[in-house]
Amino acid sequence: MLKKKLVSILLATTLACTLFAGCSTPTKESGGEGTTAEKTETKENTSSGEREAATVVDADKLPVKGIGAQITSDVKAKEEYKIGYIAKNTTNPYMVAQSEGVKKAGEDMGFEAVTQAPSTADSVEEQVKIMEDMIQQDMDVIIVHCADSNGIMPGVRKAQEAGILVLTIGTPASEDTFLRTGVDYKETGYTIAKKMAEELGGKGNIIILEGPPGAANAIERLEGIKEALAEYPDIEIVASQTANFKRTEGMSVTENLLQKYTDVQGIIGCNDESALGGLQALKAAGMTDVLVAGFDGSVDATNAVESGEMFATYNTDPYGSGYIACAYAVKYLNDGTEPEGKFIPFPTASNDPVITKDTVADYKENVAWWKVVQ
Amino acid sequence: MQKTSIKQRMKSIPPVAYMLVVIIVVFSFMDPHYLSFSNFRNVLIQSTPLMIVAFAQTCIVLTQGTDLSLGAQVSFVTVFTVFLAQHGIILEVAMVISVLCTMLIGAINGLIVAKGNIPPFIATYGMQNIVNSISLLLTAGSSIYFDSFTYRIVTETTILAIPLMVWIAVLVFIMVWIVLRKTKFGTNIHGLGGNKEALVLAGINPVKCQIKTFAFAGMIAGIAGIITLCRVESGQPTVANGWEFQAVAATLLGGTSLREGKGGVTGTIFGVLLIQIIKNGLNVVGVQSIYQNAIIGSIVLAAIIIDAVVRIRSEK
Repeated sequence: MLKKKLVSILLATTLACTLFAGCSTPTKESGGEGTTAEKTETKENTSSGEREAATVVDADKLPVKGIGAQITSDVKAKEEYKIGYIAKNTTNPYMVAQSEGVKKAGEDMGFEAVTQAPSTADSVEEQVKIMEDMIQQDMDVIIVHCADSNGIMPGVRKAQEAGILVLTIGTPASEDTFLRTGVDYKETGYTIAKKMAEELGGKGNIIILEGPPGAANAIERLEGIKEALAEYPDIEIVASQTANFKRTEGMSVTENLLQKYTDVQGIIGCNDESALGGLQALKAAGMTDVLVAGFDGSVDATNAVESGEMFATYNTDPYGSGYIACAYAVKYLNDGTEPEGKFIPFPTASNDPVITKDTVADYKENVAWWKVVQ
Repeated sequence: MQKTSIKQRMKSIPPVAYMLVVIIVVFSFMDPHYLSFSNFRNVLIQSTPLMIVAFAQTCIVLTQGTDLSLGAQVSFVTVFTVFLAQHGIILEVAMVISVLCTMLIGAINGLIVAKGNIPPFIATYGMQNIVNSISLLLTAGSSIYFDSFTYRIVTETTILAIPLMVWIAVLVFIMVWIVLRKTKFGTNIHGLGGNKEALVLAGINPVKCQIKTFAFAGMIAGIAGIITLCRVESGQPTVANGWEFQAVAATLLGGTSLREGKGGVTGTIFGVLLIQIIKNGLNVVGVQSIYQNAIIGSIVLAAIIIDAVVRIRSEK
């Protein structure tokens, strides 16, 4: 009996709670309506071409000079700002270099830099948590390399409601923030593919090693590659398969494809790792005259370009991207200078990011972003 | 039962609660931003998904088992709900279907464990991999998206300045508490862990009971999945990887024992809060994430050792 009584009391309290909930929701709904309106507004934006397209700014008009390890800036913080940076993980040298770029900007420009990353690699859920915690720390700016465009949105909205500038690098949030920087993936694909097509004299068979299916950066890069190669009627993409950005997969996929396609002049991997895998497969097959290109300008790719095994790679410069994001943020905090657009890619073709045998010595000596991590 | 002395009540508070107080005091000295209502709410919000998973795990730990597929089930719910919604099913309906699916997954877990007499650790580990694969297959490895305002109702509607999602966790807590304490099913769950023979003698089918327990845990994990979905507004195939272990840690921290079928969900709350408060504190104070795991691991170990020492002493 007593038990039943207890249960009924508990149930009654639960009911009372829900009633209470019913009472207090309407007051919140007015706020909710505001956000709905906001949402439809952005929907209109998205229907007219999703996020704002890239605004390419010439190298001499950027708030920074140089790229990679050489990057500098005249921007100085006028007050004591706090800028937080959230990476995708702590294991990828690319991400480590990016947070180093933010830290260096903190030293050069004079603000407090706080860098964090989820303890579970690439967890957008943890990135949102870190954003919430950074809001508690009264950050002026949060820079985030999103693990997922949609998943990051709750954190982005909260930060913006708290009056914090949000910048993204690389993978953007699904709605425009104050600024997005990092490379324009499509442009990287276009630039590298064009370089290869020219080297081949506009003629030949090419294999593409795609990134993970569904990953936005991989898709955009692939679009760029295809767009460039379409300009050359005598170039044929004989195969385009995923290697998931991994060296082992790049190797096995290429091995398999070489069984079928013996007449290949070029391989483009959608990142350095898969390209290097393709290179290994070529070497094993004794094919040394095939051009191999990748993206990121990583240590191994740089060495492969230097030794002449690899044709080209693109310096996607995470270090400089972190640095330039800070420069734009500090400029705005200083005197309200708005960036030229919502997406200013960096580096772009105007920063000479392509690494070939002609430029590799200088890159390795002075520019390489991975030098700051080592 | 009605008249518990203060001393007895003090004893019933798990030591982890004291640890919690110590840690809060330390953090609030380290950073002025730490001790504020908005940060307190922050911690509650951040704890909610893991909290609900830990309630589910507590039910399993009470039967002397662990369910390693709970994290995978949470991820699966986020993915499957969005997947169904993309294929034209109303999102709210899709949520219910997903939770029914995790109940089914739980029931299969229970069936394998009980019928095959296989250690839950192994059986659910297998299930974890299967469910993870299904999630990855449905999304082709990336995340999937379905636009809806429902997510924001769950995460942004506030009652008494606390978001709805936290209140859902409170309701789940009340439900689990009632089931464990006030129903025959709950008694049987304790029995599965404490004294299986007595259960059989009392004419209860342990196989059925095991299946029901795992299905119940699956349902709760499903609810955690819905909350997680609303929090990340997308289907994330790997979002809850590892939560099952955090949930085990929280359950043990909260005083539920892997040996005797003793303990309950109240202690688990403190266990989860301990883990989340450390994480939040380390973020707010600005400790690099590379060190965070080591610090959390040390504190969790310390808490468990203190707990063990206190228990051994009190048994003397």
